[in-house]
Amino acid sequence: MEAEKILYLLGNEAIAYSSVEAGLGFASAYPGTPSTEIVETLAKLSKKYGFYVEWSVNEKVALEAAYGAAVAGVKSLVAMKHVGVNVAADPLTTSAYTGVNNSFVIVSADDPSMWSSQNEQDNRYYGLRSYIPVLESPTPYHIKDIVLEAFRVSERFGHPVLLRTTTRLSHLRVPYSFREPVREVSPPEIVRDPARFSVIPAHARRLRGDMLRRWSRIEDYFSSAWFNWVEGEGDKLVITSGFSYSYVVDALNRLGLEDVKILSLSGMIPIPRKLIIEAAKDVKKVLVVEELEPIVETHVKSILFDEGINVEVAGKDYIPLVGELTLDSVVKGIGAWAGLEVEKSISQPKIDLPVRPPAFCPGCPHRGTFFSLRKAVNRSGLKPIYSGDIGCYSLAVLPPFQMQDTIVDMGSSIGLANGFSHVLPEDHIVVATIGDSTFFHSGIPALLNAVYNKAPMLVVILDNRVTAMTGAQPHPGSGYNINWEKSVEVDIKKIVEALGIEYVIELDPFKIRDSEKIFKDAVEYVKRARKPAVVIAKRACTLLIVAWARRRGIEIPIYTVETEKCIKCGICYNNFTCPAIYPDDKGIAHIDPALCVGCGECVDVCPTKAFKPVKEWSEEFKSLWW
Amino acid sequence: MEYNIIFAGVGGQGIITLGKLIGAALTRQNVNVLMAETHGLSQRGGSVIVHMRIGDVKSPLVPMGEADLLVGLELIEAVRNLGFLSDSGVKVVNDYIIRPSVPNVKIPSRSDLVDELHRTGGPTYLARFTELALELGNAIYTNVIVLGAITSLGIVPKLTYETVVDIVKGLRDSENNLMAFERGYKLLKEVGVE
Repeated sequence: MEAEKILYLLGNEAIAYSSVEAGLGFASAYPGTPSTEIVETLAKLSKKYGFYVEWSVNEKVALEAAYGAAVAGVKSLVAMKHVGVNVAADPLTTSAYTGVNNSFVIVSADDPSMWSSQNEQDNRYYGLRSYIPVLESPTPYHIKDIVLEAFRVSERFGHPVLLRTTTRLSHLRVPYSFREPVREVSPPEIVRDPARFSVIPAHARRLRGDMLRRWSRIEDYFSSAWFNWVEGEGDKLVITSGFSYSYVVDALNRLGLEDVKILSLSGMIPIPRKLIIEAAKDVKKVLVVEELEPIVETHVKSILFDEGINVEVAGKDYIPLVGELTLDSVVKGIGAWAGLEVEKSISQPKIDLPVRPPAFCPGCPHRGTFFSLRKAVNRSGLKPIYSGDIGCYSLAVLPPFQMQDTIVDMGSSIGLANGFSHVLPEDHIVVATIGDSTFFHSGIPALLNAVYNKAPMLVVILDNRVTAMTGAQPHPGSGYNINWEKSVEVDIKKIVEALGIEYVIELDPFKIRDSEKIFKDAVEYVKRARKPAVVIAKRACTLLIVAWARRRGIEIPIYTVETEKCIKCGICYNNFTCPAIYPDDKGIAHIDPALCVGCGECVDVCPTKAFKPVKEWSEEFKSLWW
Repeated sequence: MEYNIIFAGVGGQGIITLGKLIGAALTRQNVNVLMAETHGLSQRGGSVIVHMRIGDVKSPLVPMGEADLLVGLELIEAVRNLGFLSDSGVKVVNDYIIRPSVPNVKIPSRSDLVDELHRTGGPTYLARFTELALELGNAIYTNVIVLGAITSLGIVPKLTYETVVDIVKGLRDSENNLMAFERGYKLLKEVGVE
């Protein structure tokens, strides 16, 4: 057997490696920040260690697939971002009623501070409301132990387990010691047991009782298991939930507080009642430090009240309710609770700095699509409402485009447009913009609804051939599976036609003038026919193509400005805002060769044709696009 | 022992790779090293900060005012994050400005930005890393040149020339990356402290 290897891993990679050590047999996911790298890493390891892994079309399907594998007796994992659990909440809830025949680990990657999400919901609540135990690593160095424990708990009780991580934990890097797993592969067999797995009401009523009995056994286990512990001594108690332990330990060191003991709960749901009573019964005061919602705090208060233990319990009075914890905020909170002065003055720059929001990449096809779409819609004389969606194209919410009037959840562009189009007067045009992967995820039922109910809207499907925002994962339209091996290539145009859309047309976003004409015709069709029309803006993610070109040593084309032709109109750097184009002091446009990738979109944008190629597209470069 | 580093720059400049290389080198030396990335939903173009904490700590974010080293791959982003720097904190900054992709954006002058750099913390090492990378054929070498410069200062605990070279050798395009690293390693002796 190989010795242990020390690797420097992303938290998500550590979760993947640990799952392999646990004997994983099946993994599925729909990509979503901050969860994506878990299954992405598993894909890379799948051949060597012999397990199945897939990108599923959405979180509900991903969860059902992994659930099915676990019912068939295979250790399985499904990973998703916190809002993905909303999509998968239906089967998730019932999986606790039936239980499983081997480990079933659901990874929920929450996003406190909303670094890349529409909300910061706390998915410990899913554990609480669904009778599913929740585990979360207390430090970066415990990731492996907690993942192995999640698989063990799930197998031991035949019950799903929710492994919670957060952006901070998923996207930190830490030394990780990998031990080659000894894999015992016994062939799975399905035990047909409808009394347990077919949840008709008569079965479900019995299963609920079974579930509650399992829950009570799991709670007993959580009160004695190694991952919930007390350390230190003192008449003050700090209770931590998952990763908040790391902040508390560092904060207490910094504050020099020694009369405080810590109750660290890495398994906080079910709430380990006996452990809380034991830890709190002889202290003077208690502070609960947890990120986001006061879940442990509320339970501690209720348990101590029931037990008649009269001790002051604080929590969100000192610890922020909004956003992720930081060492600064926890030092401040514990300091105030312990009656210490903690003040810090931070130097602020004396000059005004411009904000730097993320922007479409140089060469991004979406920039061309929104530029030509805006021109066509503005010239139609109709009042637009742009129903937006989740993806790179959400960035069109910012200037100069401001063409995402609503963004709610995956698929909501066509979903909300189904409402807008029936209530807005006819001098309006409803434009729904949705990405290819989002269309497969949940756009199809919404579009079917629009056809069926004759909802007049222009649907623009921005097809860049991959799930781009999470790092270019292939999807059913890409023609490749999770390991970039050839698979079926599902044609979006054929799907749209099969749904019953009568007006559907494809365009190339790099050809701005042609695109504008196509959008103009489509807008007129919606106005005239009062039915939905679909335009598919098809052009691969440039970032991916450029990465492939670099890897294969293919030269990347570059454009430049014939500065004598520049009339300083600013359209290219103020209305089109390609990051590779910048003005000099006089307002003349220039191209930064370090940023330009030669897409050539600027050619049609410039009224005086001032942009020209320095290095043309080679046949090799052309062949990379699909 | 505790040593804190902030890396600041613009998405796409290779800032996470830079942190990863240092983390991997320190891991080989059996040092506890945590790195955290904070960036928003997009891959490119926005502000990116990487936190690195070396030593006996558990939480990965550097507290304000406590960075021993600020590495700025872009001038505006370096100035934006000066609040992280301790009173004696060292700055290694790329003399390079990227205009934010925002309509009619007003950006401060280079000299105002450089003045701000000098106003806070300890010594400043300012050099045209991107220009040097372009001389080597591609802006993507910027981060490895900076890695060479940081290593040459000998201020990050246990970050030795030998270990880092070993890591750089393992990169794709290792020949050019080694050249970039060596260029950076010699560079600060030439430009000196500002």
